[in-house]
Order: sequence, then structure tokens, then C-alpha cells
Amino acid sequence: MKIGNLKLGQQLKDSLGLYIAIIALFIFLSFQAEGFFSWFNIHNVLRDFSILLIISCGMTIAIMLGKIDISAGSVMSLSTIVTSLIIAWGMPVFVGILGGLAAGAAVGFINGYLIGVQKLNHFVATFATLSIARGVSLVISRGDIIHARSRDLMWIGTGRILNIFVIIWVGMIVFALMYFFLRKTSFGYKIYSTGGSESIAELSGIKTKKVYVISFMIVGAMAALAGVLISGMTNSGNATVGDGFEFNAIAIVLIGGTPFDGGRGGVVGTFAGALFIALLRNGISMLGFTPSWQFAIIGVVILVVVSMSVLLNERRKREEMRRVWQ
Amino acid sequence: MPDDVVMTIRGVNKSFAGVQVLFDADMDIKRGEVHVLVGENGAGKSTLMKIISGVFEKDSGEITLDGKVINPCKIDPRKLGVSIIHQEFNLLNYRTVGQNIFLGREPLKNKILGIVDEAEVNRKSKEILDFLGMDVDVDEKVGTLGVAQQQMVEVAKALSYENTKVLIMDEPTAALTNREITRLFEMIFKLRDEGVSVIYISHRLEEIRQIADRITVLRDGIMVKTLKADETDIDEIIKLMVGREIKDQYNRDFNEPGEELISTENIASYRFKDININLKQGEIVGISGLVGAGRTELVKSIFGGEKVESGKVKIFGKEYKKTSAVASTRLKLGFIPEDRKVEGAAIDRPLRQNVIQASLRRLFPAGILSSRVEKKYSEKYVQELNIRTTSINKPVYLLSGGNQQKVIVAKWLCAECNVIIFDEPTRGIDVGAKAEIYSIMNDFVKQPNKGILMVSSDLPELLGVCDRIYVMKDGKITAEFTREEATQEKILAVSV
Repeated sequence: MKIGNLKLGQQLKDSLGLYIAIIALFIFLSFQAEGFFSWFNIHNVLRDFSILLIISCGMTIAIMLGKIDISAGSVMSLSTIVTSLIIAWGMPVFVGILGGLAAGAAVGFINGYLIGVQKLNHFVATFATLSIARGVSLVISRGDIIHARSRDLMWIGTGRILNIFVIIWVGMIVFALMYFFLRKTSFGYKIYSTGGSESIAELSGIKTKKVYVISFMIVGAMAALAGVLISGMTNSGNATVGDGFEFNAIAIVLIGGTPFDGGRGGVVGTFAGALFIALLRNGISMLGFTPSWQFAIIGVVILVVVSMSVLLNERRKREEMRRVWQ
Repeated sequence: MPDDVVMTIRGVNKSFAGVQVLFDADMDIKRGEVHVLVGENGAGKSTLMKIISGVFEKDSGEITLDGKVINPCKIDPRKLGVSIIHQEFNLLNYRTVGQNIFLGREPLKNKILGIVDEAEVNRKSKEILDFLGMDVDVDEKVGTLGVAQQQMVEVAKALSYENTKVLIMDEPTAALTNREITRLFEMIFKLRDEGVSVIYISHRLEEIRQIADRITVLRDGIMVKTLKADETDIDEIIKLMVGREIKDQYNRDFNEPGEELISTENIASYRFKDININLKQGEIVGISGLVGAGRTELVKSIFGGEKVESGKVKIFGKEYKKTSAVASTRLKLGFIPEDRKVEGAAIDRPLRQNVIQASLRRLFPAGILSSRVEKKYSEKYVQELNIRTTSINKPVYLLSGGNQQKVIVAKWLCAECNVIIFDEPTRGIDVGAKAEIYSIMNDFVKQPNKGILMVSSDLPELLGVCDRIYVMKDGKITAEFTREEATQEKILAVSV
């Protein structure tokens, strides 16, 4: 069927471009950046990638709902503080981790409640919670780094299973679960529907308020999980360590092809997006640029990728309209 | 049993913001009948159906289904066997056909984990589509389907509820071609023969004879009469629908048309093509046609809100190359859209700001607003157009529909427009205010150099107000009538 081919071709084209870019970047860096093409470095890139992937999987849900969560970075910091503090008190590591995740889910609950139930603008709501989470982190840490001094926590950040970082395993498991959750469960269906059109979802009997609250709790918990892994790498909590991660996460989701208008996309694109950004971040420093260049370069990449997809989309929409009406 | 009543509606009243739109509505729906509900725009058809389906709460009255009183706002009526297909589609473009049909109540493979049984979704969807005789891939994304197929998906969705007894269809043929309509009708007959009652809302009168078992006529919120289809004819229905003498509320003073204000040469876009129309000084020119014929897109494109892909637009004799809304306002064109609340007025802002919104450059050339000038102009138009408000500081959303419309007209009058393009000038406006809008339009075109281009679905309105009427169908102009030639029947004949 003609239409069927078009759809498949389109899907391939969408992510194909990104994978070509990833491979091109990989080859370029292998030749140009000294020390890039080594297991040591690539292993580190993959660890960085896994953390980005986790926070971006959460962000994908927010953006699929047509919303955005700019509090994710400070939630990440908050969770490093909470986790480290609990462990520093002498509690077992898993309690610390659960505490960190719970803190993230709690901020997510507030976000979801403000956005879904109180109908606050998502930008305003998460802008406020960004500041609240950062403030709470600074207050409870008194602005200092909190040392957890725990071998177990350290193992999560630097340990290996089958010679591969634990973080990478966690990232892959989270990704697989998230894919399954969004594609195969009824709650995943509800996220797509609510993001597609809140009014249509409501008319179909979906409790959209509940969808928002639970979804944002997941977004918060994902950011918090990324925070837990970071605190494992440094064996400490730091109130500013997550700053800027929300920016990277949003960039990854957009580059991965989940558009801001909601109702479509998914974590598969986010996977490729995270790989691309992780490579880019590593490449920037391996090529000898200061990390300060990161923001500007990533910004340019977002502009290029997103304007291309907007252009393609506009064209496709017009073609569809033409086919439907004439 | 042919006279078995499945649903009754008794004494249903409803008002919105103080305007009563339904008065003691009574209706009986028999099992396995096609019951057509007709009436002019704003007669209350859609409101009544939205009450039955639980979208609006009724003010008073009673609805029963199979002898039991139901409250559609409390229990989802679809679970009781009453489904509605709204005029506007409620489909998610990026989800598949199957996912849309079972939206929000997907069968599960594993209840605890909430895993959706995709195979079951597709199998059941396929079953319903097969029953409807529809050849669509359940894996196809809805956004890639044609309008007719989307309509069928809506039907399938409505039928996917267990034992549907009453199916309400609100203007289902608005966007369909003749062949697709025939197909839809076959499907409706099939459902009827299975014992489903179909309530069918339409203002395409010629369809009614083909499909109706009984017909109920609504006028201005009142149930005028229920007729048996084989004992009536279109003339009788039209008479009941219109009721009042249509000519008197319009009072047009027709003028000798002057030079051309707007003309188009073969303009086309994704939604219309080969359009040649013109508007002369002193004229009100109407564009008729069914919803979805491309009328709104045409006038929006002339104004510059959408792209004209080829052809020429001439304004005051000069070719207008790149149409844009900004350029149009400089050329003294005004546009009053169908949806006042979204595109017409800044409804949260006070009346006074809305009035001067399109004339900032003219009134305040230095770029500094003056509250005194703002007050002067808004008071002037409140008086001239008889806008009923307690203060010029009142936000527009607090005004009634008719007065909101007057504020938008005032905005363009204040901008000293020569041409105003109206899209559905009186939609959602009560009868009294309608007459006032018509007289404002009449006064406007009496001035030198002025003209009005309007789109309307309200045939009596077009016939009463316009000097000439173009009829559009499927993106093309199918006919042009002068005021003397035009009749409802002639226009309908070229619209469908």
C-alpha cells in the first residue's frame, strides 16, 4: 500500500539521519581526537550516555504530554544530597537510594499536581519547583558537598559487572522498561492520548489529571535516579551537580524526534539523541575545547535538527491535507 | 415491535449565559429508526445532542433509556448504549486506527501490569470495520487517512461499545463526497436493520428524504413538529424550519455597485483552486457552501492569514503580491473570523483596548498610548454600534456574543477599513443582535468606497443581506447568483 510505504519510509528517514550523524561524528572523532578511540574513553562516553539517557527518558514523557520539566536538573541535585545525607547518617545504601528517588517523585508530584490539576502553565510550575528544589538542596547541604563515604554507593558509580559499568547496565534496563511501558501498557497509551489531545482523551474516559500526576512523578523519579548514579560516581552529594542537565535532556528529546506539540515520539529517538549528545560532549573536550563551548555547539545542533524536522513536517502536513481534500 | 420506544426526552431546558437555547424539548426515539433532527444554525440541535451524550448538563427535564431515567453527566452514556459522533472529529492523528477505536479502554493481556493486548485491539477493530464494510488497515495512523475514512473510524469507535442502542451523528456528511455519503447511508441502514436507533442531525435537506424514517424540526430552541418521512416533503420542512418571514430583519438598502475593491484571478492553495471572485464598492458579497468546502480558507487566504500558492489577488486594482495579515491591515482590509474567542478579540482585555487594537499606528504615531484618545474612540463606537456594556473597561469575555461581535466590528471601523471580510458574521448570536449586526453591515457599505465579503452557512442570512452570492463546493466556485436569481433551493442544488 502506497500510504504504508510512505509511513515506513518517513520513520526510517527520521532516525536514519541521526544515526548517520552519530556514525559520522564517531569516525571524525576517531581520526581527529587523540585518545578518543580507546575502550577507556568509549566506556566513559557510554557511562555519560546512560545517565543522560535516564534523565531524558523521563523528559520524553513530559514532552510527549506537550509539556516540559525544567526542574529536572535541580531535582537531580536534590537527589544526590538526599541520598548522600541518608547514607552519611549510617543508614543502608538502598534506603539512601529510595530516599533520593522519593524526593524526586515528590517534586514530580507537585509538578504534576500544579500542571494537571491546578492547570498552571507547565513552564511556570516547573520554573518554581526548579527554584524550590535548588533552595532545599542548598539549605540542607548548607552549600557544602556532602560526603557519603560508602563503598556500596561507590560501587554503583564506579563498579562493573562483566567489565561494564553498573551505570550502563542500569541505563539499558531503564530504557528497556521505559520502551515497554510507553508502547505496551495502557498507561503508556494514556500518555500518548493525553499528549495528543487532552479534550479527546477526556471524552474517551481517560482521567487526564491522574495521567499528569503519575507521569510527572516518573519524570521526577528518573531525574532522581540519574542523581543517585552521579552521587555514586563521586560518593557525595552536591547542590549544583545537576545544573544544566535539564537543558541537555530537553535537547536530546528534541533531537531524538519527539516534538513539543505532544502525542507522538518516544524513547527510541531519545536513545539516539542521547548517544549523539554524549559523543558531542566528549568530542568537544577531546578536541581540546573548554567545556564552555558545549552550550553554544549543542544550541546550534538543536537549531539545525529541529528546524529541519519542522520543515519536513510542514511539507508533509501540506501534502497530507492536499491528499485528503483534493 | 416497530413502535417500541427506546429513548424519551421530556421537558429539557438549557440556557447559556442567560440566553435560553432549548425550551421544553420533547422527543421519542423508536427502536431501529433513523430519526432526523433538522433546524437552522443555532436552533439547538447540537446542544440537545450534547445534553443526551453528557457533554452539557441540562437545566431541567428528564431523559429515559429503555424506561429507566438516566443522567448522562453522571454515568458515561456510552456504557449504557448511547454513543455520539461529534461534528468535529475526536481522533488522535498520530495513533493507529485500532488504538483510536479503543481509546481509553483497551483490552488488557495482563490486568496487574496493565499490558495492552494489541492483537485483541486489532482483531476487534477489524471485526467492527468488516461489519461496516470498510477496508482500512487497523495499523494505519489516523492522520494519514482521508476525511471519509476518518468518519468511518468515528463510527467504528462509537459502535465498539457493547450493545449500542442509540447512535447520534452530528452532521456526519459535512465533509464527505457523494459516493462516500452513499456508503455511509448503506451503513446507517445496516445498523437500523440490526435494531440500532440513529439520531441524525443535518441541514442538508435533500439527504433527509433518502434516509429518514421520522423527522423532528427544531426552531429557535423549540421542537416545532415531528413528521413521518413518507408523509411530508422538503417544502413543508423548510417552512417549519424557517417559520418567521425571513426578509424583514435584514433591511438592506441596495446600492449601485462601484469599482472593484477586490478581485482574484485563478487563485489556488492546498484547499481551493481556480477561484475567480470579485467585490465591488457598495456591495455585500456572500460565499455559500457546506462546511468543509474551503470557504474559510479562501477568505483567510485573501486576507493573508494563509498562503495563496498561485494566481493573483488584486486589491483596489493593484496586484497584491505577498498576502499577509499585516499588509492587509495597511491596505485597509479587516477580517472578522468565525471563532471570535480565539482569533477575533483579545477577550481577556477590556473593550477599550480591543477597539483601538488595529489602529495603534494611526492613532498613536509616536508609539505612546494615550488613555484619553483610547477612551474617546471606544466611547464613540459603543454609542454608534449600540454596544451594551456597563463600562468601556469591561473585559470582552463578559459581553454577550452579539456585543463581542460588535466590538470586533468596532475594531475595524476604528482602523478605517474599506473592506471587511466576515466569516460567519452571526454565528452564536441571538436573533435580536443579529438584526443589529445586519444594520451595521448595511450602514457600512452605504459609505463611499466600502464593501463586505462574507462567508455564511445561514442561507436566509445570505439571501437577505447579499447583493451577490458565490457558491463553493470541494474547493471550487460552482455558481454565482445575483440577489434576484438566488433561492435556497438553487444554492443547495450546487452546494451538494
